[in-house]
Amino acid sequence: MSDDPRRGAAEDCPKRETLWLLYDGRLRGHEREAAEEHLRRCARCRAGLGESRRIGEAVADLGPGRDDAVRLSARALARYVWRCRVRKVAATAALAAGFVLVVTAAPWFLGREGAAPGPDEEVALTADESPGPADAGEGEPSRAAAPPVQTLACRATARPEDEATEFTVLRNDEAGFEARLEWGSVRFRVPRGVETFRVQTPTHLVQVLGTVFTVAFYNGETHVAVEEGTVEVLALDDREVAVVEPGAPFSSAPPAGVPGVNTPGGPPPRHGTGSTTPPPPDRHLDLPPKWRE
Amino acid sequence: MDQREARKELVLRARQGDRGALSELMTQAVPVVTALVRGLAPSLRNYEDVTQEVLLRAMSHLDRIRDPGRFGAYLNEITRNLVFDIKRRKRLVGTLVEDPVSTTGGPVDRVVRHEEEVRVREALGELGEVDRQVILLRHWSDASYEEIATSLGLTVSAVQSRLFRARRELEKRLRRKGYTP
Repeated sequence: MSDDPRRGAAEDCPKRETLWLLYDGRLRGHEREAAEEHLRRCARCRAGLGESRRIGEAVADLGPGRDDAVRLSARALARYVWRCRVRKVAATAALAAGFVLVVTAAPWFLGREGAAPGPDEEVALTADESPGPADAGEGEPSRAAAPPVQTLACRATARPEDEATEFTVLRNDEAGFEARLEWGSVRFRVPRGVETFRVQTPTHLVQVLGTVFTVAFYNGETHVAVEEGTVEVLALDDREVAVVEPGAPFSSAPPAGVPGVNTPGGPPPRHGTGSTTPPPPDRHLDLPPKWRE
Repeated sequence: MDQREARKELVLRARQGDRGALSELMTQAVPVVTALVRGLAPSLRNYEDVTQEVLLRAMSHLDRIRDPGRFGAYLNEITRNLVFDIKRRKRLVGTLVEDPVSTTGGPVDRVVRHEEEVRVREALGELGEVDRQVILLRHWSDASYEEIATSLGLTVSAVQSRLFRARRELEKRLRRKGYTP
């Protein structure tokens, strides 16, 4: 017992380390037999081994028991299983979202690659190539077959069936938009913040109070259909004004001898585009004061 | 089959989806991880949470262990990383954290036992980090010298000498605190 400061070790007593090795089961063969033989006849070493054992037990008592181990591992296992399930669900959801995205975006990409527009699609007019205010009245009419262009002030679109639409943009800048429709049908989507937005047919002036509307002029008749917001329609001859709202389209009566009927070189007379219907009789209102001068 | 081989077998079975093997592997890992955690950070109060987190990470990355026989080293690596992160955040120092007073035995027994436990904890807390890990691994998880060596990256003879030194130091400190084994 050479390591015990309290008592002197006998000459043949094993070292304290050897007793610990015996306690841990690390001694084999002759060493083990010799140590055990010594312990049988040496009470002091037996006491020393007992102390070692008690210290070991005191340390072991502080550790987690089998119950604690089972409890902790079960809890961790439950969390692991839950995490695996969440990951599985998240992966499935991501896969589904990716699939939906591909299915949704594919037609758009295919369309951008030059696919022909469908029957309900619209083609933008070349409004940015229109003359400025100084050239108003001399600008060449835009054609529906031109490539789509979005201008600063607005985006004007014409329905595909109206390929012969004669539409001249007189002004198109941040301050406003003015255009003239000689023949055909044009659908307008007016962005917010545009102060002035006017479209003139040979017989009527359409002033925008809302956002999305269609103006058509066929056979001397002006037709206005509003999808969102409100527009004012001013008759150029008798200065009558109508306020057109969604669900109540406007159509003028065909006055005799108005331009646009049998326009030279223009398309043959056609009837409404489907988005216009004959106007209700009470749509024509008195001219507002701001339009009287 | 020795402890290391038995654990290797459990790891391989758990990898193949054997839930029972995984459960047993984790149950066996609890005292090892607890010993490692408390060896590194004796004053850590939420050591059960840390132990659980280590187990969770071990389960999540079971496939990444190159040598399933070195599962103990893998646990030690995870534990070290986690505890060092916590230490960096909290700057932990002090002695082994106290558990609630034992509720078994009479009131006097409980008080005496609690006092003894406090002394042992304090003495353990005064040991060096590796010495404390070695002694806790030996007595809490009943790990063999070879397993301790694998877990801590030591040789078997180093484990033997460190264990002896740790026990001798512990005994000295316990006697100084009035604890008679």
